[in-house]
Order: sequence, then C-alpha cells, then structure tokens
Amino acid sequence: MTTGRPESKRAARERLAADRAREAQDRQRRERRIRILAAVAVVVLVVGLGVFWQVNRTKVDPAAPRPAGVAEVGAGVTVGTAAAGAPVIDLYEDFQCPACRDFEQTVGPTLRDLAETGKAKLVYHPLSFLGEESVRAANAFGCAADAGKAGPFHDALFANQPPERSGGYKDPELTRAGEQVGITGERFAACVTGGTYSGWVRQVARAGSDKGVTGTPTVFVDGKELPRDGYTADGVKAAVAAAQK
Amino acid sequence: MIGPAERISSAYAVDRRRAVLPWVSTGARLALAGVFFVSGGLKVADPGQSVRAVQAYELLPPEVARIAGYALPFAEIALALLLLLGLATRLAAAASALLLLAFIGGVASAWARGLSIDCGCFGGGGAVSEGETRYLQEILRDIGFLALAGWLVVFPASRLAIDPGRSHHDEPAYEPADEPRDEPVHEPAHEQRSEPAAP
Repeated sequence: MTTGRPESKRAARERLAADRAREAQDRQRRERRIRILAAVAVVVLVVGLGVFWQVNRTKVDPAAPRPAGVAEVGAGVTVGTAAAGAPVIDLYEDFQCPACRDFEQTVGPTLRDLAETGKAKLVYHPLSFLGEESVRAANAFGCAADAGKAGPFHDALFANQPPERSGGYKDPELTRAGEQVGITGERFAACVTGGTYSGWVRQVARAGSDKGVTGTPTVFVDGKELPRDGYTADGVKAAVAAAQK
Repeated sequence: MIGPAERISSAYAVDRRRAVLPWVSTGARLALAGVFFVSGGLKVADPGQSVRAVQAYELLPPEVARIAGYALPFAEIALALLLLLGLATRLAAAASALLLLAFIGGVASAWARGLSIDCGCFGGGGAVSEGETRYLQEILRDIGFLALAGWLVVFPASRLAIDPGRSHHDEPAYEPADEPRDEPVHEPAHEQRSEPAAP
C-alpha cells in the first residue's frame, strides 16, 4: 500500500492533467463557437441593416406627379407625332453623360427627323446616373414637357452640357435653357427649383434598371436593344426599317 | 558537436517562425480588410450604380441583381470589420476567398461572353466601350487578394486580434508549460478523494 501510493499518485496526476486538458479544450471550443456566432451576427447585422437602408432610400413612389403626356409610372416622354403602328425608339440617356452628348451630335438629327416625319415614335427616358446634376436636369426636362417643349429643351441641354461631376445644371442654368427654347413664366421656374418631377425621375431610373439598362446611351427599337455597332445614323435607320416590316 | 548545434539552430528557426508568422498573418488581415473597406465604402454611397454594376454582368434577374447590388458592399464592409478585429479569422478569410472567387468567375464569364463592362470592383461598373475593358488586370488583381485570403485560411493565427494568438493545434504546447507549476499544491486533496479503492 505504501508502495502503491507513488504509483497511484502518478496515475492521479495524469488523470488530473487529462481532465485539465479536456477542460481547456472544452473551453477553447466554447470560446471558438462564441467567436464564430459573433462573427456571423456581425455579418448578418451589417448586411441586413445596409440592405434595409438602401431599399428605403431608393424607394420609388408610384403616386409621384408625372409630366404632361406621361401616361404610366416610370414611362418616358414622347416627342414628335408618329403614325399609329410606327416603330418605337426608346432612348435612355443621361443629360450629364458625355457619350450621350456625342451620340446626340452624330445620331440626334436622324432621330429627330424620324420622329418629325412620323416614321418612328421617339421616347426619351432621362436617366440620372451621374449625381444630383443629372437629377436636376431630368426634372427640368419633365417641366419642359409640361410646357410642350420637351424636344427643344432636350437638345438645348445637350448643346450646353457642363463637364461631368462639376456640379453643373444648376437651377439658373436650367431656367435659362428653358428661356432659350421659348419657355417663359413662373410655372417652369417653380417646377425646376421645386424639383416637382424628382419622384418621376426616380421612377424612370427604376424602370430603366428593370429593363437592364446599365449604360447610356442605350437604344431600343421596338423593344429590341440596338447592337453596340448600331449607334450610328445608318444603324438606327436600318433598325427602324427592319422594325417596319 | 554537430548534433546539439543543429538542434539549437533548428529550435531557433522554429521560434523565429513562430514569432514571425502571426505578424505576417496580421499584415494579411489588415491588407485585406483595407481592400474590402475601400471597395465596399466606395459603393455604399451610390446604390443605383452598385446595382447597375451587378446587372452589367447579365448573370442575375433584375430584382435579384438589385438586392445583390445593395448587399455586396455591406458584405465587403462586414468582412473587413471581422478581418480588422481578427474575429473568426479563418471563417472570415474563407468567406472572403469565396466572394473573390465569385468576382473572378463573374469577370471571367463577362470576358468569355464578349461583354464590354467595367468590373465595378471599386465603385463604378456598367457598360464601357469595347476598347476600355480591363478584364485581365481585374482578374489578376483579384487573384492577388485571393492569395491574401488563402494565406489567412492556412495561417489564421495572428497578433492584434480577438482570436487567440495561436491556432488550437499549437495551444497544448503552450498550456502545460505554465500550468504544472501550481498543480502540486492542489494535488494531495484530489488524490485522496479519487483513489480510495487503491489498497
């Protein structure tokens, strides 16, 4: 029994060590689980709150006022007088986008000609990709539609496009562009400064997004997107001719 | 003569490795966290742009792309947070690696399908003209970030972290070193209780 003592002592010590090792392992495992749960909670919380915030601040109000002649939520403004059944040209542009200005310079006259002669129905969808100036310009475009001058106002804006991201298209510039095309009166100025159609501008942005428009200019002829090499006067004419058949 | 010297130098090498590796992992953590903070932060301000960047890949239906466009920047920020804190590093690194693989796959598929888009990796995104695509650079850059994430999956233990400084494989070597010292004090009491049937 006295000789058994050291023996059992060693065994006890080993067991004790094993117990402690196991306890330590359990504790480590527990702590690891807590860290993983905390990490998952961080991700869920950050992503959840973030998405909630974005959904909220990009909310589109279907009841927002729309410019004259815009029949549906998020629809564009039609210019010219097209015969019934004529092909529809849907043009998605941003008044602040330089590529759109280039497109207007090269293809714009052709589009206007098609619209004025009634060979096609031309619909402008003013998108607002490039900051608040895009939103202000698109809103003013809606105001000009009320005055029946959507087409000329559209052309005047592109003719005097300010540099990108320079905070252009301020209210005075927009009202002056209106005066240039013969829009007078308080109503237009109030519409521009009050952002009357900013809700509609968001509707148009959402509608464009739902249509998969990710760049400007984007042209659809009778619902079919123009191929990238078709962004020329001849390309548009060919697409309209093809749609007429 | 040669034996002990070799042993000392190899022990020294192991020690140095143990000292340096966690710091390398700390560097990888902070670098990847920085990348994700910047890429996520640049996208948060303009949710519409973020959605367009996702849509431009033409891989998801519009509604799904919208939610993905809202969620991805925050997922990046959340991962950046975990990496910065060193919380569940291996898990965060594995998630980062998966995300980066998805990004690389997306860019590669856009390239293969002949789309002309900007990857929208650090804000921006959407259609660009044909000569302006930079798919190869974008993929190589993401592979660099993937290497950081891969390192952290293999060596998650790092300094300046909430996670323990050593991975659990190393830990047993740590604990016995300081514990036996106070053990004998408690030992007799335990021993008597646990060994009554010994005789």
